[in-house]
Amino acid sequence: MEWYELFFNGTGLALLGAALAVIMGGCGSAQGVRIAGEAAAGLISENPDRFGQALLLQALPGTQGIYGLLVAFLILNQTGMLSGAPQDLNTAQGFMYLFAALPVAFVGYFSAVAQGRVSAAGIGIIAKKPGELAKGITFAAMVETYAVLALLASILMLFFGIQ
Amino acid sequence: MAIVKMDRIFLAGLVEERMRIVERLLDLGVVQVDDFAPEEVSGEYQALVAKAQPGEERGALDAELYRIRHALDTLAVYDHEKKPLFAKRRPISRTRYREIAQSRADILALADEVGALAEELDVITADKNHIDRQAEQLSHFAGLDIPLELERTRYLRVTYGTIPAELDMTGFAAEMEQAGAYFWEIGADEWNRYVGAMYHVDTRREVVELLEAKAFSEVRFPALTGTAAENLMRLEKEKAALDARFAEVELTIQGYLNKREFLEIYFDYLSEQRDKTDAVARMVDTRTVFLAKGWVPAAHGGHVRDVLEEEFSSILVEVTSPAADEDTPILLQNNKLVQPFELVTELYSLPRAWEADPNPVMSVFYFIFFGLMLSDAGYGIVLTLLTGFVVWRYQPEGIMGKLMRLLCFCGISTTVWGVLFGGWFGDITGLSPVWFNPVEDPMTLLIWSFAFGALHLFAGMGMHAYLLIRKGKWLDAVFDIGFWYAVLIGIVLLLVDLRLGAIVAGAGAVGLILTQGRHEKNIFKKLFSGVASLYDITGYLSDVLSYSRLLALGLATGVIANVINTMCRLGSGNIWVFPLVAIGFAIGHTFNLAINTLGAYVHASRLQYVEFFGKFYEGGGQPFRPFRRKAKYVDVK
Repeated sequence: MEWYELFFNGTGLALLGAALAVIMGGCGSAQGVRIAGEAAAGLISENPDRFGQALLLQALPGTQGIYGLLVAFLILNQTGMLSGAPQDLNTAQGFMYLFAALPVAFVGYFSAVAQGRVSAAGIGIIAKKPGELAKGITFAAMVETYAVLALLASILMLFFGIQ
Repeated sequence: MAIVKMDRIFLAGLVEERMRIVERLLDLGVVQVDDFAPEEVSGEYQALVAKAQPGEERGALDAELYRIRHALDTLAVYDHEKKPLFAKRRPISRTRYREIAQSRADILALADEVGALAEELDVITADKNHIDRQAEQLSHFAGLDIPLELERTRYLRVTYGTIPAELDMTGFAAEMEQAGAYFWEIGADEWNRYVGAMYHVDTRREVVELLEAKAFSEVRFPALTGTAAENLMRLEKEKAALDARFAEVELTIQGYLNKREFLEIYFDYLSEQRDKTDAVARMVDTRTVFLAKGWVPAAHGGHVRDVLEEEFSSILVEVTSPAADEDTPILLQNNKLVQPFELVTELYSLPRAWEADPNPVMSVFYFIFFGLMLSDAGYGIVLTLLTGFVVWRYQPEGIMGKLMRLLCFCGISTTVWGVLFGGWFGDITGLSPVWFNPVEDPMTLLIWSFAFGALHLFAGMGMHAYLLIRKGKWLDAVFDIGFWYAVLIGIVLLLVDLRLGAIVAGAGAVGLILTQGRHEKNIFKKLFSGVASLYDITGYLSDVLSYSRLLALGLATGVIANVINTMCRLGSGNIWVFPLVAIGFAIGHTFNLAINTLGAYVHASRLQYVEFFGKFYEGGGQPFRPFRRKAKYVDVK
């Protein structure tokens, strides 16, 4: 095998897509959950009884990591790597899987960080007005919309875009 | 099934009868007492009234409440009985309640005893900390056999202290010896050596200079006699005594646990007194007469008036209907099925008095959407049984009660969708779907998601039309909603019949162009506004697309469940790993259920808040807060 063939190996490219989906989604979610968690810890030091509410808001930016895992799983499943009978993928097919993973990877990363910030701000809301939790959640859910749309795009590409 | 109609209530009575009237209002529990400002009394009479002065001081009540609260908090620490997840109030008879309310002095004394014990614990803890600090320092000098008080003889001086650990001891000791001092190490730890230096009084300056050059820092033991080891032993004994005392006090506090009930009942009684004081403070008085105003549900107004007028001879009760567009406090009344869903609206914002209660319509969609996003029969059954058990066993009240009932209902919806899509903890059972499997055929579900979304949006627009028609603005309803219905339905029809769709959508669009500029005066502006309004189509488009989350979250639950199952299958077959597989299966599915229930709750709410409420809902109503008994611990029967 020539060295450049390594970079254009279909199975490798598909795996790169799966890896990117998990890495970017996971890193973004970790970052987002961290941002919200720091704000939550600050609130808990003053009002320990608002733990449940704060945890709810902290969990919100965690979904992008799950979406990434989901897309990775779909790629592994479709390429037969999970059933133990991996398909022989050509370079073009490998790129298709890679591209299909991109929406959830990139939008997942950036939306998770952004959502973490909104969640932290939402924790600021419940610090002052514990009754307004739903509004904080709604603001964070507005950001999540784009992660959901990206997930949907990735899924549709996987189901209908791969030849 | 709607917003409860409120009437204004106005009360005038004798100041001397006021406490009895307030008590009666408390019993009735359906009247909200509003703040009455003296400025509201018209013109010449204003000089006669002043803000009412409650008999009991609010500040004194708060102080007593604080004392009892403190005692209860102390006791709570020592209550090792398992606390129920959802606290239930203790039933108690009215006579007993009165009895305890009468024994104010006893109960305050009880609270203060507990308070004093708590304080003693604090003091003991502080003393123990002090001893620990002292012992820590002494322990470094435990190897010293010179009594600590012996700091000087006639010609000799002794000094102790710390010096950084990296010091070369032999070299420095030799240096000191040359200066005429004996320098030795007593103990050491990672950072410091604990050292002593003995020198002739005449060499003091030299020795001190030498020591200071090596960053020596002196440690003194004022007021200590005997060797360090002796002192350490003494401190240990003192600490043991404190520990014993601490345990003793703790036991004494635990002895008070059986009297906690009295404190709790009295706490509730005091809170009630405070509420009464607050209610009185909202009234205005002349010298002999008090005036109060507020709200009462229209259905109860007559009853309240009859009860009060019958019991009190000199009282005036006036119940009047507010104007149609007046902002009244909001109380929602729905049947048992819709009630839990009120939570979703309450967390957003209550409707205004002139709006419609969105809950009956909203609840149907919330039920469907939540189930569609979780869509697993196994998860649905678990969710329903779990929350159903909590409701049955603990009967939680308030927000928690509504949330549990909401999840219980939504679990049913989840189960139904799970059966339709063939999801039972993912693909574990291999049961074939009753309808279709969205993992294999996502496009079908996407189209259905859009269809549900369109229905939801149409319902929201319908609510708007209903509100307009109720106000008699049926033309606005036709122009603003009817034409949009035509445009949107026409666009959908394009997929079925191009000609028919074009006609319907075109007719709607023409209608919009002709009517949307109706508030403008200039004919060109009218036309321009009309054409520009067509741009709103993008809003409807993005609204509908937003419902694709129904598919995305539904798939997420199913696919993650499958991931868990796949991983578990990798390990099955070997009998020895089976327990591990079982645990992994349980943890995995619990996690998936938790995270996706949260997701379904959040996104089902969001679809209501942004897409549905956005079409018609105003919100911002104030909740109806009746003056009633709000006991925390007891349920007076």
